[in-house]
Amino acid sequence: MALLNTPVRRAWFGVFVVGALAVPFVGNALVVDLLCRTGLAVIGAQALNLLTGYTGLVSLGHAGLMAAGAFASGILTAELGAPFWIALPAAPLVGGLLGFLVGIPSLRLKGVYLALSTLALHFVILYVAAEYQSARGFSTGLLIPRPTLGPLTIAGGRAWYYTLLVLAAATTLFCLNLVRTRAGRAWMAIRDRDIAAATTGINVTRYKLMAFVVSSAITAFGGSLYGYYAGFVSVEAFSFFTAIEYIAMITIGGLGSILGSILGAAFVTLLPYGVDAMINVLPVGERVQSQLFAVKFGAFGLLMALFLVLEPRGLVSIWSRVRTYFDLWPFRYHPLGE
Amino acid sequence: MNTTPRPGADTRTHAGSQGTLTTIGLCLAIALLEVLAIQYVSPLLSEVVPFLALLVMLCVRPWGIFGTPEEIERV
Repeated sequence: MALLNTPVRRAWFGVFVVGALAVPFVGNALVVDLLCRTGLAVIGAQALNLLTGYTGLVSLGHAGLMAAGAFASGILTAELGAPFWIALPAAPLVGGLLGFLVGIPSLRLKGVYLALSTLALHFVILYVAAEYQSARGFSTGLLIPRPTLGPLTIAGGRAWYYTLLVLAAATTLFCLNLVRTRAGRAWMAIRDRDIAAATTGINVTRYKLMAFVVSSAITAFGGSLYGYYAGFVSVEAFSFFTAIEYIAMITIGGLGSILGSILGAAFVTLLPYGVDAMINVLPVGERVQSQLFAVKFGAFGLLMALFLVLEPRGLVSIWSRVRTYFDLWPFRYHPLGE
Repeated sequence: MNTTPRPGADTRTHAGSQGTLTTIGLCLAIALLEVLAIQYVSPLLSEVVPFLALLVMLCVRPWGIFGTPEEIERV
């Protein structure tokens, strides 16, 4: 209740919940699919935000960790016939273990060196996965059957939408509460200045490793869900571009902000479809139509650059500016001072 | 004037001063590793070998082959 401490907040939260629950009854299949993808992106973005936004450790290896989670679940299901309730929790376990390994370089390295070491780990994980895929004869990828939990089978857009909505909300709540605890505050202290954090008695080693383990576990969980959602796991789905996309999400949304991660995840996921819709509406020439893929990449890069230049604190700072405006209206500043 | 680089100071001129020929030599060494990986292990591995070399280097000598430990900011 501390998170929803005013009646207005509670009311808006109620509106949001009702709206989110009503979407599948209103929107068509495409809308539901897009929102499912957004939900998956929210889980990944929250995980990366814990590490990069709150602890200040840059990771380019999160696509690799997603692949690890997806492959852990995929191998358990497709090869060993493990049920859903074993295969899904296995992903965060594998992710946490890998996160521990990935985190070890972070104890010695900083900044660009750490980015390089996580980049290297991304390629190593994907290499192992590709080697496995070709050795076992899954040339295009592993097929994953629909997840079944007791009498329930998650199939169809609507069921997936509610599953992912609950899981994304749970992840968000987990992260929101985590950054309010001792660990979260320690992470922020390390981000701001690690030497100062160490002098105030924070065990920098322990908390950095913890950030890596927690973030990687959630990322692998998200990757596993992605595999289940697509019904299919292959290395092509976790290219280096995916890692960049997640970095873009938390940067565009606003580093070190839970709300920012959600906004950024939605923005980056929906952007290509927005560009699609815009090109269909606008009277652009055939030339642009035929280069749609390149146009999407270009729009993504351009927006990323524009955000870094014009709005370095992300979508969340636009939101807080709007909120402040209405808070203070009709004044432009606190009339009695503060 | 004291010209000794402080730890954590900008030392790019020192770190990058190993010379063109050495750089070419290191490039050839990485290329050799890639070719050996294709020949003896697996063609898939060849793309990863430079990253593996990078990873080993970052774990063992983060300041590079020709640098000195003072050039990197330790955590």
